[in-house]
Amino acid sequence: MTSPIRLRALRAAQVASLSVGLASTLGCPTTTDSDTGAQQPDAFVLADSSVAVDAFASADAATASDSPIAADAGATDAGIVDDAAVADVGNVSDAGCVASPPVTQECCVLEGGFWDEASMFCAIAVPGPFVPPTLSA
Amino acid sequence: MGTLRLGVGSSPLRTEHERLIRTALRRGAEDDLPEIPEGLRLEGISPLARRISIEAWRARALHEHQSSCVFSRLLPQLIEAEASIEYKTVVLRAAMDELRHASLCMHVVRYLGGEPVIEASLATEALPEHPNRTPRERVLRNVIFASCMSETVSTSLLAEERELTTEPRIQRIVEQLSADEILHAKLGWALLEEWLPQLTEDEREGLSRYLPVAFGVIEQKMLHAMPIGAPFPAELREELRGLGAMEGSEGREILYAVLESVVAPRLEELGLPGMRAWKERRTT
Repeated sequence: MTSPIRLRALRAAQVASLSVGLASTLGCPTTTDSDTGAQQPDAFVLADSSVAVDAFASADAATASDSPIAADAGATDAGIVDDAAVADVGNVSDAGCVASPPVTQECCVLEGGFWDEASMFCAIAVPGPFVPPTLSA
Repeated sequence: MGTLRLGVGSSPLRTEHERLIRTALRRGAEDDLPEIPEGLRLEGISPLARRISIEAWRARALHEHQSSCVFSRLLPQLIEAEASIEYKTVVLRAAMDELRHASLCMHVVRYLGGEPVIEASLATEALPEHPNRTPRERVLRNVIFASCMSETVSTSLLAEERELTTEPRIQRIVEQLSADEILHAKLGWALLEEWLPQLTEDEREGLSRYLPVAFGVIEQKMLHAMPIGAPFPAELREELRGLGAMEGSEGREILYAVLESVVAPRLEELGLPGMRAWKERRTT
C-alpha cells in the first residue's frame, strides 16, 4: 500500500515530466511550485497531459507488484543488485557495497555517504544531476 | 582534495551576487527567499540526529555545488544545437540554482550546529561529446539523462522530503529546493518534446540506442548515492525526517517508482522506446 505522501511525491515527478512550457514554471511563485505535490489540483495534471488523473493509483500498483525490481526495492534491496542489468557496475567503486545491507563504513564512504561511527548509520543526501554516460554510436 | 566554503566573500562582486539572489533567482512576488541567520542554532534534538543530519546536509551541499557544472556545461551544447534562447537562459538559471542550493544547505549545516566547511574532492567531470552524433542528438542525450531522468527522480525525492520535514526553517529550504527541481526536470522534458518531431530517423535511432545505457547508469549512480545502512530505529527515523534527512531505503523505493512509472512511460508517450529501454537497461 503506497502512502499518500509517496503518491504525491510521484505525482510531482509526473507533473515535472509533462509538456508544460518552461514559462509556466518560471511564472509561478514558489507557493504554487512547491505545493505541486501536496495541493496541486489534479486538473493541472489533466490539463497538460493525456495521462489520467489517477495514473498513480494504478501505476503504483504496477510498481509494487508487477516489477520484481520495484518489489525488491520495497522489501529487501538484495534483489536490486542481483539484477543482471546492475551487476556490471563498471566504473563505480564496488558492486558488493550495494549488495547486502547493512553497509560497512568503507562502502558508505565509497558510495558518497557519511558514516556515523558511534551509531554505525550511513547518511544520504538527494543527489543532483549526474554527468551523463557516453555512448560512441 | 579541496575545501568547500560557501560564505559570500568581500569582493566588489558581493553586491551583484546578492542582487542576483534577490532578483534573478526569485520565483515570484510572493517568494520569500529562505535564509537562516548566522548565529541561530537549533536546540532540542538528540545528539545522534544532529550528527547524522549535519552530515546528510553537508553531503547535499557538495552534490548541489558540483552539479551546477552539469547544467552550465549544457550551454555550449545547446548553442551548437541551435536551441532557442529560453533553454539557454534556463539552463544557466539551473546552474545558479544549484550553487544557491549548496549555500542554503550550508545554512542548514550551520543551523544544526555543524561547521559549514567540506573537505572533499572538488574535481568536476566534462559532459560526454557523443562523437559522430549530431549536435541536436548529443545535447538531447545529455539532457535526457541529467534532466529527464536525474532531476525527475530528485523532484520526487524532494517532494517527499518536503512533506516529512517538520522543522520550520529547514522545511522552507526544502521547499525552495523542491520548487527549483521541478523546473530543472521540466527543462529536459520540454526540449525533448519540442525536438522529437523534428529529429531524423538516424537521430531518433541514436537516442533509442542511448536510453538503455542512460537508465542503467542512472540506476547505478543513484543506488550508489543512496547507500543502505542499518535501518534507523523508528524514533530516530522520525527525528531525522523532521530535519530533512531521508534513509537510503526510502530513496531507493522512490528511485524505482519514478523511473519505472513516470520516466519510462513518458518517454514512450513521446515516441521513444522507454519501457523496453528500462527493461533492457545496462551500464555499458
